[in-house]
Parts: sequence; C-alpha cells; structure tokens
Amino acid sequence: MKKTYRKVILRTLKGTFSRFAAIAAIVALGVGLLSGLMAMPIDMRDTIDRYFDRQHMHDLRIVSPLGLTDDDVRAIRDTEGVDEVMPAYMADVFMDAGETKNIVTRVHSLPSAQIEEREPENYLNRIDIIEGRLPVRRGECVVVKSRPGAPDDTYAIGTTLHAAETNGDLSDTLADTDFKIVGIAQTSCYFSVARENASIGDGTVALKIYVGEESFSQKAYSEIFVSVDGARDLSSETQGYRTLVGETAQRIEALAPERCTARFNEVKAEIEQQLADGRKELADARRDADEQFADAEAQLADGRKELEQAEAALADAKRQIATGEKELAAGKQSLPGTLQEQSAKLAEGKAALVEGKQKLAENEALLAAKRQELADAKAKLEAAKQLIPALEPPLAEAEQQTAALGAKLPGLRAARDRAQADYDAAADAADLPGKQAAFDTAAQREAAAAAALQSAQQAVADGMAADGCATEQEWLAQQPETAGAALAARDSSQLAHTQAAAEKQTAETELAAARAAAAPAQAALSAAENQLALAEGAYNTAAASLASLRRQVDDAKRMIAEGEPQIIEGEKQLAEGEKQLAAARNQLLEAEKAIVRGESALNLAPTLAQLKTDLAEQQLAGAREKAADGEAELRSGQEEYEKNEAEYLAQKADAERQMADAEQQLADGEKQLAELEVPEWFVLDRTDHVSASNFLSDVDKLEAITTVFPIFFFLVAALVALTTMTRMVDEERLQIGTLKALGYHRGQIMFKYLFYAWAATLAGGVLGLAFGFTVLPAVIWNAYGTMYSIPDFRCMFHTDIAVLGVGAALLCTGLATWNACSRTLREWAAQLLLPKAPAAGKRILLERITPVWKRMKFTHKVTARNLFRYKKRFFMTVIGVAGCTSLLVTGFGLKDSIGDIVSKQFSDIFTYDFMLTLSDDRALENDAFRAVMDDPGQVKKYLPAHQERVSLDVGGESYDLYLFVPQTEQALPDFVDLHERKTRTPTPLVPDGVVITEKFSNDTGLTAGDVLPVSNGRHHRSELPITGVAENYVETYVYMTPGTYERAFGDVPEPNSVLCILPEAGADVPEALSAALLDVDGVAGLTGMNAMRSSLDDTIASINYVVYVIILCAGLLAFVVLYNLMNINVTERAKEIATIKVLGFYEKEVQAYVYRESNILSLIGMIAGLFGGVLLHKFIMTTVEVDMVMFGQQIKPLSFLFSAVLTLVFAQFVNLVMRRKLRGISMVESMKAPE
Amino acid sequence: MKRFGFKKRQAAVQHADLSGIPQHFVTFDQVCKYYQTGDTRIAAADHISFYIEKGEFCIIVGPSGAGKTTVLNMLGGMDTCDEGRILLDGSLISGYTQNQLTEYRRRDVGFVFQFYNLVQNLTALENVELASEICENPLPAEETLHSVGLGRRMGNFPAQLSGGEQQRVSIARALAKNPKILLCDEPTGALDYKTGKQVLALLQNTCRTTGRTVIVITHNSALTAMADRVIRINSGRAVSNEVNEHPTPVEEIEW
Repeated sequence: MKKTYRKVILRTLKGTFSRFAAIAAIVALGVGLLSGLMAMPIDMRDTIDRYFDRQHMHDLRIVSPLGLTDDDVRAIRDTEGVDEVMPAYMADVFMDAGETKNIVTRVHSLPSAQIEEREPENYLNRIDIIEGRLPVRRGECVVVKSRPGAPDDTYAIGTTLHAAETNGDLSDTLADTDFKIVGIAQTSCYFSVARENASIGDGTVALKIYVGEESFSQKAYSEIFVSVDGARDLSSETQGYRTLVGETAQRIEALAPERCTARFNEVKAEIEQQLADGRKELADARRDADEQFADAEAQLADGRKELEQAEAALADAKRQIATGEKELAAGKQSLPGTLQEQSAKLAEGKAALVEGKQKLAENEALLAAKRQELADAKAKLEAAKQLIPALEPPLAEAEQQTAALGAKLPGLRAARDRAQADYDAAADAADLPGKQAAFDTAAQREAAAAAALQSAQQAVADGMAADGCATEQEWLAQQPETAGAALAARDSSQLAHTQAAAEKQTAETELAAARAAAAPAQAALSAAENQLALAEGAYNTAAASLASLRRQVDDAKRMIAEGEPQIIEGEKQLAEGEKQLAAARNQLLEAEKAIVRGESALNLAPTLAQLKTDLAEQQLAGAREKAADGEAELRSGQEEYEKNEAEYLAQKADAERQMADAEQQLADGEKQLAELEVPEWFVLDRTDHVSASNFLSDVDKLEAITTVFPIFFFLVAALVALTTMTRMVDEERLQIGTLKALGYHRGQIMFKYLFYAWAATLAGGVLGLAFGFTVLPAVIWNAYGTMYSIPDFRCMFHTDIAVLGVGAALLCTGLATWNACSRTLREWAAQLLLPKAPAAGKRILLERITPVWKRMKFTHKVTARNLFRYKKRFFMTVIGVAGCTSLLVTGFGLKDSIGDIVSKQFSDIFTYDFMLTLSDDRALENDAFRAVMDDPGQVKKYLPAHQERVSLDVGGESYDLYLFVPQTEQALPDFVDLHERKTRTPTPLVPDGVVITEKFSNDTGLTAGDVLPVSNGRHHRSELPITGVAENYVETYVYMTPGTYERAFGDVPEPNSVLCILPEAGADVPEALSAALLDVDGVAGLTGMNAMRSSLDDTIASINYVVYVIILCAGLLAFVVLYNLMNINVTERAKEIATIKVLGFYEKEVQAYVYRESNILSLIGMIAGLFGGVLLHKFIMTTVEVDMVMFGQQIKPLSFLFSAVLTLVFAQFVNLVMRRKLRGISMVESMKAPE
Repeated sequence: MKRFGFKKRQAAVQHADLSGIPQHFVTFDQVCKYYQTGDTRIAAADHISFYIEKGEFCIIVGPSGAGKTTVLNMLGGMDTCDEGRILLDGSLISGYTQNQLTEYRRRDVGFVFQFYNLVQNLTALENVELASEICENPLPAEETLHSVGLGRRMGNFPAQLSGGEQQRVSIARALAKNPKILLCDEPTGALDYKTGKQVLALLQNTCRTTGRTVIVITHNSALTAMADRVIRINSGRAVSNEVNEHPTPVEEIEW
C-alpha cells in the first residue's frame, strides 16, 4: 500500500471519529454480550470443576440399602480405574439447638484418623473451614454454612447440638448425642440454598454437620466415596469426564451382584443366627418358667385347701353366733322395744287427750255463742209480734178519717165549677174582652200619634238648628217655605195626638166599668176555689199517714213469718251440739283413765327384761370371741395365699410378656428375613447432590439465553455498519472518482472502507471482549451468589469465543461495507467525478391524502419524506429502538413475573400463617398442644394434614412432588385457596380424585379429566383421575382427600403437619406461641410464612442484577443506534441545516427540524418493541424456569409504561448529546460547494 | 471566555454614540475579523470601512481570499466581528446577540447562495414557503415564483430543475421573506454564462423595480459595470468605494 493512501485512510478515520465510534460501540455491545454470555457457562462450569477438584470431591458415590462393608471397600479399591476410596457414615437425625428444636440434620462422618495425622487433604470430599477448626475429639462437629451471605446465629460456634428425643433410640446410629459446634465449613457437596431431600421430618435437610467417624455406632458404612483415576484432570461437565467416570461406574456396578449377594448372605446369616439364638433362648426360658410355675401352683393349691377348711370351721362358729344373736335380739325386741313403743303410745294418747280437751272447750264456746244468737232472734221476733196489735187501732182510725175527707171533696168541686160558670157569664155580660180590645187599640193609636208628634217637633228643631235660628219666627222669616211646611206638619200631628189621647181615655173608662160589673162573680169563684184546695190538702195528708201505718204492719208480719222457722231450726241444732259435746266429754274421761293405767304398767316392765337379756349376752360374747380369733387366722392365711398368688401371676405375666416380646422380635426378625432382598448398589455421580445438579441445570439455562441476545445485537451492528458505510461512500464519492481516475484498483479503494469498518469492528470487539469476559460474568455470578456459595470464581479469556465473536462481527460489518461500496465502485470514474445527482425528492403516499398533507408544516413534510427516503436508516433505528424497548420490557417483566410469585404463593394461595411439622401425630391429642391450639386468642384455626414427598414417574420423566392430604377436605379452603389461575374458579377436592398444581400439569401435559398414576411413600400404587388444576408457583403438590388416599393406597394418612391461622392475619408468629408449641412432644418444627416469604424474597432479589444488566444493555443499544442515526443525518444534511440557520430558524426550530425524524422513528421502534418485549419475555421465562417454581407470565402495565418512558428518555438523551453537534454546524457550511 | 467577551461588547453597544457616523443604509466602520490558526492570527477583515445607500445595486468585488465572504457573513448576521461597527438601517448589527442575529436573518436579510442550497425533499414552492413560513410579512410564495418566471415549475423538486431555475427558486425564496437587503454570494458561480446573465438580470430588475438594496459578491470584476456602487476589496480592506453613475445593462456586459 502506498504511503499517501494510508495517510488518507488514517485521516478519514480521524475526521469521522463519531461514526467510527458508533460502529465500534455497537460491535462492542454485540461482542461483549456474546462473549460474556457464552463465556459465563464455561466460567461457571470451570469454577465449579476447580472447586470440586480442590475439595477432592468424589466422582462416584455408592450406597446400598443394607450398608456397605470393608469387603466392599476392598473390592471397589481393587477395581480398575478407581483412585481413592473412602467409606463414610451418614445419618439423618433430628437435632435441637437451644430453642430451635427438631432440626432435620444430616450427620456426615469425617475420617478422623487422617485429620489427626494432619493430612487433612488426603481424603475425599474435604471440607473448607471458613471459621473455627475441624472437630478433633468426640462430641464436636462442624456445620456447613447454610446460606451465602450473613452468618446464622443459630449455628454459631460454641452452640451445642443435641440429638432430639423425637429420634427415639439412636444407639445403633450415633455413639454421641451432643455435638459442640467448633467450626463452620464449606463443602462442594452442599453449596446451594436448595435443600437436599431427607428421610425424616418435612423431607428436606435443614442442617448439615460433620463429626468424627467414631461418633457413629453404625455397623456398616452408609456410603463409599470413590474418585476415578485421571478424572480430576478432566473438566467435570465434559464428555471425556462423563465417559471416564461412566466406565468406572460400570465396572463398580459389575461388582455389585457378587458383593450384594455376599452382603445379603452376611446379613441373612446374621439375622438367622440372631433368630436361632433367640429361639433357643426363648425355649429355655419357657421351659424354666414352666417348671417354676408348676411348683408355685402346687404350693398355691395346698394353701388353698387349708384355707378352705379353716373357712368351713369359721362358718360354723359364725352360724352359732348368729343363732344366739337372733334369739337375744328377739328377746330384746319383745321388751324394751314394746316398752318404748308403749310409752310413746302413751305420750301420744296424752297429747291426743289434751288436744281433745281443747277441742271440747272450743266446741262448748261455739255452742254458747249459737245459743246467744238464738236468744237474740227470739227476742226480735217477740218484739215484732207485740208491734202488730199496737198498730191496728191507729190504722183503723186513719182509714176512717181518709174515707170521710174523700167524701167531702166532690161537693166542693161542684161548688167551684158553679162559681166559674157564674163568673164567665158575668164577664160576657159586661163585654169585658171587647172593652179590653178597644182599649188596647186606642192605647196603640195614642202611642203612634205621640211618636209622630215627637218626630215633627224634632224636624222643626233640626231645621232651626240647621239654619241657625233661635226662634220659630226667625226661622220662618229666614226659610219661609221649609219652615212653614215643617211647622204646619208639627201642628197637625199635635192635633192628631190630642184626639187619640182622648179616645184612649174613653176606652179606659169603659173597660173599668166592665171590670166592676164582673167583680162579684170573680170574688165568688176565688172563694170556691180556696175551699176546694183546703179540702184536698187534708185528704192527701190523711192518705199518706194511712199508707205508712200499713207498711209498718206488713213489715212486722213478714218478719214473724221468716224468723219462726229459723228459730226452730237453730234450736234443733243446738240440741244436737249439746248431745255431741256430752259424748266427747265421756270419751275424754275414758282416755284419761286409760292413760293412767298405761303409766303404771310401764313403770314395772324394764327391770324384768334386763335380767333376761344380760344372761343371753354373756353367752354370746364368748362365742364371738372365739369366732373372731378364727377369722383373724383365716384372714392372714388368705392374705398370704393371695400374695403368693399375685406374685405368681405377676411373674407369670412378666415371663409371658418377655416371651411374647421375644416372639415378636423373632417374628420381626423372621419377617425381616423374609423381606430381606438381595440389595442393590446405587452408583451415583456428583449430580446426585441437589447443589451440584441445581447449579449445573442453572448453567444450562443460562446457556439457552445466550443465543438470543447476541443475535439481536449482531443484527443491529450489521445495520449500523451498513448505514454508516453507505453514508461514507456517498460522502467520498468524489474522492473515489478521483482515485479511480488516478488509477487505483477497485479492491484498493474498497480496502479503505473495509479497513475503516474493520478497524472500528476490531476496536469495538476488543472493548467488547474486555467487557464480556470480565464485567458481565462477574455481575451474573454475583446474582447467582445469593443462591450458591462457591468460592473463587474466575473469569477466563476464551480464545475460541473471542475469535468467534469478533469474527462474526467482522463478517457482519464486512458484508455491510461491501454492500455499501460495490455499487458505487462499479460506476465509471467520470460519473463519479460529477457530483452525484442528489437523490430526487419523492412524493410519498401521504401526499395523496391532501387534507392531511395540506395541514402539515413544511418542516414536517421534510421529515415525512425523509422517513421514507432512507430505508436502511429506518430499519436500523426501528430495530435498534425496538430492541431497546423489548429488552426493557423483558427486564421489568422478569421482575414482575418472578417478584410476584412470592406474594401470590404465600398470601393468596397459602392463606395460613404458619405450619407445624409433626414427628408424631399423637401431639395432636396432647393437652399442652390442645391448650394452645384451641385458644382462639392464640390460634384462630388449624388443620392437620398429611404431606408426603414422593417421586412420580409420568411419561418417563420423574417428578418430585408433595402429596397433600388434609385431615378434612371441608376445612381446606380456609388454609389453601385452590383455584384455576385464569378463571379463578375454585377447584375443590372431591372424593376419588386429585387436584394437581399448574406447573406439574404444564410439564406433564396432564389436565382435568386425565388419570394420574400415583404412588405413596410406601410404594403403594394407584391411578386417580385429575379433577382440577390449581394455581401454584412454588413446589408441586397433588391434593387429595383422606378418603381418596386411604382407598388409593390402603394406608391411613397420618397427619405430619398442621396448618395454622393466627388471629391477626399475616402477622409474625409470636415467640411465646412458637416456644409453647415446639415444647410439645411430637412437634418437630414450625415454619412461619412471613419468614418463608422473606427468605424467598432474598433469592428473588438476585434477579435485580439481571434486570440492571438488561437495562444497561438496552440503554446502550438505544444510544448507539440513535446516535448513529442522528450523526449520519446531521453530517449528511449539514448544508441543509446551515441553510435553514441562515434563513433565520431559531435553535429550537432547527433542533425540531432534525430531531423530529429520530423521535418518530423512536416512537415506531418503541411500539414495535413493546410487542417484541412480550415475546422475548415469554421466551426467557420458559427458558429459565426452575423445576421447583412456576413463574408468572404476566407483565404489569406499569412495566410497559416504564419501558416506553425509559426508551424515550434514552432517545431524548441522544438528542441532548446531539445538540452540541447541531450548534457546531457553522452557517459558513452553506457556502460550500456540494460534495 | 468567548461568550463572556461577547457579552461585554454588547454592554458597550448600548451606550454607543452613533452620532459621529454618517447615516448610510449599510455602514462598515473599521470592522476587523481575525482567525486564529495555531500561532498565527490572520485578519480576514482588517479595519474595513465602507457604506452602501438604500436601493443601490452594489457589487463587492475582489480576488479569492480578499475577505469578501467574511464581509458577507458579517453583514448577513452569520458571523460576528471582532472589532468595529456594522450598521444596517440605523441598527447596530455588530452589537446583536445570537438570538437577535437569528431574528435579523429571519426578518431583514434575504440570502442567495452560490449553490442554491435548496432543500431536496421540498418542491420549488415548498422551498419558498419554508422561508416565508417563518417571516412576519412575507410576500406570497406563488407570486414570488411567478415573478422569477417559475410559475409553471412550482411543483417540481430541485433535482428536476436546471441550475438557473434552482437559482431562481433560491432568489424567490430570499425575496419571499420581504427582506431589507438581498445578499448574493457568487450567484452565477455555478451557472453557465447565459444562465448567469439571466440571473444577474433578474437581480438587477428586482433592485430597480422593488427598490430593494441588492448586494452581490463576486470575484468577477467584469460585472462591476452593471452596479450602482462598486466596492473593491483586497487583503481584508476596502480598496475603493465608487459610485457608478451610469450602470450598464447586464445584457451588454461581456466576460
């Protein structure tokens, strides 16, 4: 190459540095991501391999159900390919650490001999002590660090672990029960937060400890660790390693049948020997016992016979006494009994007598009262009888008088009537009524005339007053007419009045005369009337007194008539009463006499009787004494006999029990022997450990993602290179023409651009490799660091990846450059020397829509036309920005999907607050347990449940899951909300069906209506129909009712856990409550949902790192693409921009003119990216999904918003950066000639 | 520092005494412009002074590198001067801020470029409208295009027009803004002889008919005959400032 040409190239490079940087940057991103993501799995596997090697981790692990022996060890050691062999003990036990009870602990043995010899590296699976020291004596242990990060106080150095009582008898397993923690270790067997499966407790190992092997008392080894010759030099995930180890494993497996049979025979012989010994022992014991029992029984029989005789004698004596006693009693009864009875009767009689007397007195009083009453009545009667004759004379007199008076009355009445007639005639004769009427008329007329006169006078007075005249003359003079008329009227009325008065006078006189004429007749009438009135008054008085007298007589007569019979009756009664009274008196007298007699008899009787009884009693007492002696004797004999018998029975029972036990043991032994199978050897590799297998599968998942991202970035890189180089070739068209004209070859000219592109690519590639091989793995490793504690991560340089990444980038940019150059280079030099006809403005489709186009500003029109003019740029920008948005959506979506599952699982689905694990279901009946659990102030509700970890084979795949059987299916909805995720319809438990969880359904393809082959922990198999698929995120569950379980497996589900709800929903479990519950025998552990939630939250927090990396990459992508676009646009249109500046566009208007295009492209890209993000998210979610956990598929609306906004922020950031460049465009540019 | 210095000058301007300067339409008073290249300072304009009256067709002529473009830039408000004063119609251009300069370009100056500088993606009419859109009192775009004789090519894109036509669009764009002065930078530089003449005729006509001040910058001294005023520049100085009492019509000029 010519020197000058080289200079040209270098100058171009300098002059267009930002363009160079754009290519470099996008290449760096692509190569960085590619190399980083590709290197990551390699680095991770390499790290873990180094860790395995350094710890001398076993390549193979052999376990067998019957344990392993030294012979096995020897046989394995002699196998070809086996390097080191280390037998070891292992046991899962419950440990207590202070307040924390029943921790499921895996106890491993350490080869103490080697450690004591200070050769701690000469054993397999060596452990790293990160704090403290190794155990050197019995009763010491080291614990494996449980979680990466903060140390756990529960297992601090100095704490003592104590084998829990829950374990029962551990003497066949562990020689020691207390272990003091002396160190904290890391081991290549356990480095994950995921727990190993355990055979006890909740089925997972919570704590791993290592103790010296002498702390174990097991007869056979639990496991044999083997390292394979040459395997250490191979990386553990390589095919070579697998082959080598696999071959050795096969050779070891080949040993198995022989060794297993041997072991089987050994164990069988051992058991048989034990059985034979046992049987013999039992037989001996039985014979001895039988003999002893026979002796004892004979002795007992003798004793029994003696006792019986004594009893008979005693019975005789007793009978005699009884007879005597009966006689005596009879005697006693005849006397003092009667006496008492009689004196009682006497007393009674006396009392009755007193009572009788009292009654008699009362009756006498009553009788006297009656008598008095009768006398009174008689007196009254007598008085009445006397009254009647006294009244009779006045009565007769009154009757006479009345009759006389009545006779006088008619005469008087006739006289009065006559007088009346006389008067009427007289009145008529005098015409009194006519005279009266005439007078009345005259009087009226006179009154009317007087009134008329008065009014006429008044009229005159009024008229005068009105005219103010004092006299009539004056008035007449003044008002002749009026006055004259008025005065005349007055005078005429005066005349009329005088006349009427006279007439009245006449009438009055006539009337008086008439009255006088009638007066004598009137007087006679009055006199007659007076006489009649007097006579009538006298008659009335006499009649009234007669009536009163008659009434008095009648009353008296009636009284006599009524009273007489009453008196007769009263007298009869009185006589009767007196008779009765007399009889009563007689009775009383008799009774008094009887009492006196009884009293004297009583006084004599006692003395007589006493003599008789005394005699009889003396005889009896003697007999009794004898009998008592006999009885005492008998009792002691009996007692002795009973004691002997009891002793005999106890001994016999004891012996029988012992023999039964022995028989049971023998039976068990026989059963064991019968069930004893030829064991198998399980030759396991490292992935048998959960830590290793989880880690390696995580690495596989990571590998799956690595393919997507880089492809994307490479595509954008190619587009960036293409647009950039196209622009560059366009810019340098003239130069190309000149060079061509000067005679440079096409290749030479092309070289310049290839060189340019490749220089940028290499620069970017180197940068990318630097980033990809260091920063990216470190960040991702950091994320995994929350789940795995593996020391010494090392980022490596991988030449193959570097070559591949950079090579791919070179290819991309090279192709893009060739594409950009080739057309221009094919043109003739002459054409090239002419300025390229500027790409003609084209009308675009939008212009056809005139109403829209017309309303657009010209600057907008330019933008619209530009958008469609440069297709490469359009795609580059849209794809780039879409990629940015997609990445952001994916990143935020990851958080949504993973972040949500914790709250969904432990708040929405598992609605209980804590769970107890039971080692013994009798705890449920425990009083202390019930006292706490049944107190609604402490625990609102609880539900015992049976949970069992099983492996199910479905379609050839093995799935680890929990069988979940609530004690009562009705109560379950309060504790676990089983429902479908999408429809939220409940999926209740029904008899003879199971509800499975969603992820399990997805993985197996089984859904409601299908049949699930299930087996329980005892390997009882069954097939059950699936009735529902429930939403669930963490772990896999198969729910069934207790009835279903029982029918399916023939086993009764024993509750081994209790789900509990606190009174206050979502609260932490109070310390006092958990302490009280854990104190109960049979309660193995307590898991608070809050604690669970936070520990899972920690794990999930690691996803944040990934999200940050994604956001960073997205930002860089957007920046590179948009910067490149703007850069090209601005440089290409520098002249146009300068021109509009000259035209007087303000800075803002200039910016808007330029930015509008990139803003619209960003917007289009962003919208495309929102859709792309959904797809990318879905892809990644399904790829990274862990077996144990189902991630949500949802992306929250807010995440879309964030992604969109962030994309626009990135775009605006680019605008901000470009502002300087825009300002920098000098208006002088506009003067320059077109290129 | 540059910014700061600029502000200081602005402050000084406010108290500038304009009374001593004769009132011309365009005045350059001892204007200097320096360019720093490494250690050497080149004066592109070295105390240059001249004036132009309103309505004149003025030609500024000089050889390459004489400082013509510098003068044009400063007068057009695209560049600032380091010393001296520039006045247009009584306003002190040299004291303007960036924003004031932008407004000045927008309002008072019409620019005709040597290479037309049309926006390729806009039609002839749209290119004119692009300028008129941002003015306060623009002339109707179509009318302006008619007046430059392009009434029938309004809908064409620049690439579909000849050089002369493009230059006429450019002139129309400058005129549509209704500016105080029309600044033309080698308007015939990219045109053939005949077309160049037509464009010059158009400019001269515009000056005569509208009374607008037209300033043409060229290296071609043959054109001076058509000008009302000829300012000769050499080495950053105005060598002469002559008034041509009898300008020759452009058709009669040969070069």
